[in-house]
Amino acid sequence: MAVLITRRLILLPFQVLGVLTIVFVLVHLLPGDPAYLIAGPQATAAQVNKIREAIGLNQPLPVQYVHYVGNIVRGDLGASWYTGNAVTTDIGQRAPATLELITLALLGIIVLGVVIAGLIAVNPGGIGGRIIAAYGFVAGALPDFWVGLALIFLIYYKARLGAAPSGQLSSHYAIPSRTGIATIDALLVGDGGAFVDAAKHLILPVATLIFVYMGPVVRVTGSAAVRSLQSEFVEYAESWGIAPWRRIYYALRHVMPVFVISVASTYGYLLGGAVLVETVFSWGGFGQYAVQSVTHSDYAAIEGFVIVAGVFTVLVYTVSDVLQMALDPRARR
Amino acid sequence: MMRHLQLLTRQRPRVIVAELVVLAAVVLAVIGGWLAPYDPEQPTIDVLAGPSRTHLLGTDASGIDVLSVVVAAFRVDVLIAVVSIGISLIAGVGLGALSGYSFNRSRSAGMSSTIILRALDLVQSIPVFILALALVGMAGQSVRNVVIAVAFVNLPVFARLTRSAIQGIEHREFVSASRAIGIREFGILRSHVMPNSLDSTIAYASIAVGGAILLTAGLSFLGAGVKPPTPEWGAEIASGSGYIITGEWWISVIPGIVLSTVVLSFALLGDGIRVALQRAHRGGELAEYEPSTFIEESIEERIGSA
Repeated sequence: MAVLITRRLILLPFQVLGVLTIVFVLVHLLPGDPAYLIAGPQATAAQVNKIREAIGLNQPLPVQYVHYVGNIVRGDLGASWYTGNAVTTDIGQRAPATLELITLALLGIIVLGVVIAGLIAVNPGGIGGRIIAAYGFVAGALPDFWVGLALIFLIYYKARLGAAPSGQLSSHYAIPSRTGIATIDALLVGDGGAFVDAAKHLILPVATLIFVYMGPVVRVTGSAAVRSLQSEFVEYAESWGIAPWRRIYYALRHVMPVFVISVASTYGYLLGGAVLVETVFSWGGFGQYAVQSVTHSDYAAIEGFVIVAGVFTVLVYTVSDVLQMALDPRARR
Repeated sequence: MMRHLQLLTRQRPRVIVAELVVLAAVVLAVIGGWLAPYDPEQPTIDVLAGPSRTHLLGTDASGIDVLSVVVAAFRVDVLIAVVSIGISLIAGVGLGALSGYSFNRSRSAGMSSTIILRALDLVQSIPVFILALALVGMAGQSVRNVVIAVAFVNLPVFARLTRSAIQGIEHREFVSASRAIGIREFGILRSHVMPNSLDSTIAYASIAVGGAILLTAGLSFLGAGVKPPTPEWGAEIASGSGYIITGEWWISVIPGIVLSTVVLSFALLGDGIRVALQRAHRGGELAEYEPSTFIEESIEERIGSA
């Protein structure tokens, strides 16, 4: 199996290169002169020319491609005209807060998802199973940003619970940002009040993401569990008189690969959802950076956030594939 | 054709309801603007007024009647979604056919097929919403570019669905029979393979329209899609988002309810179409209702290809 995992890991750099290539192709297929966009709206013609020269837009495409990949491999995603910083610096500052948001949501989905999918599996025709299936279907059709606003209205405005939907921390707490994650920064300086405040700010955006993105996971896993429990190998085990808990264990082992893939796909969807949910809650992370770069036509930043998001999902899928090999003998072929 | 329409009417009640909602949405997309009680782009003197008899669903911060916006927005949202999924369907089916059909060559000759498949994989590895946002950002913010972006991010799934459907039937006898009587490969593909492999693709298209509405509304919510004063659900939700914490809920909540109802109906309709086509082509016993949404479909698709 070590050989298989190594082989899968060798694939990773090629996938990353593939993502970079796709972005390169898209950039050159789309109309418009990137030099103008990179320079920003206030640039003079001379500045635009200088940028065109600097990023080599006058050179043949293969040369440009080599330069482009070379720069990214050296960790250079260019500079944002809007913030004035290197794009890697900008994203590095903001990514931890987003990662905190979507990882907590993913953990919530894993824990709640297992429980809820289990409830469907136990009695799929029952009222509980049907309600959960209906929830999963409806949740998949709800706009995440709207669910966020609805939760703000119901929980914050009506029930007077939780924190104001304005960032990661109330403004009267001043703690130095070391990790970019407010809860951890608060713990690092030992400020309990700030930690509680930061945790409160997390509740609504995380709940929004869990509510919307758990729906598909629960439905996919739940129906796989139902199929598995009714499958022939479980019946066969029953006919041999194997104890019920052991049959359920066999059946659930069979569902694990499905669960892993749906959770891994959901991590990618959560990153996309974070763009909208961060805007609703003024989270100030990677997602809001993406929005800001689009609304300001900040070309280098746009290219940067697509590449980072693509590489992130490629990494997630790699982990998912490796887990797959550990869980599913069929994946070890 | 008539038989298919008949099959669409013999469905579960919830699918019938969904069909009526979709029908209403399409009708409103055509005539919605005329039904609006006020001009959806002109402010009235009532600012942030709650639902009342003069403004059934209230007004927003600039005094625009929410009901009028919600009704007029059908044209923008439904039209963008249907047009972009239409483009995506045609292009995706084409790509899927090119990469899936063997054209009577040996499999090892399928270099272009492998390249197409890998490229689709890579496009799919970027989260859908992030890719759409970036495309609109790079191409410039306009309705045309929203349509292009939404069409592009949906293309891989259509191509993959078509590809796997074609690969499932191209070894059947009627294909080799057509070959034996000397029909050209493109003729076989067009007249025999395609009609038998489009069922799931067409059913999925309806679900994808719902997904496209969510995407369009999401982009517009961020200010990267359709811009005010053009009436659009996501943009209207955004215009009310600052007033949620002061209790003016109707501006954001109502367009979201309408949007979700339409998205759900397109998903249920897709399920109904699938069941109808299965009944028409394979007899009734295989047809089971199992509605799903955009994200669910793509997760299922990933599981299927793993």
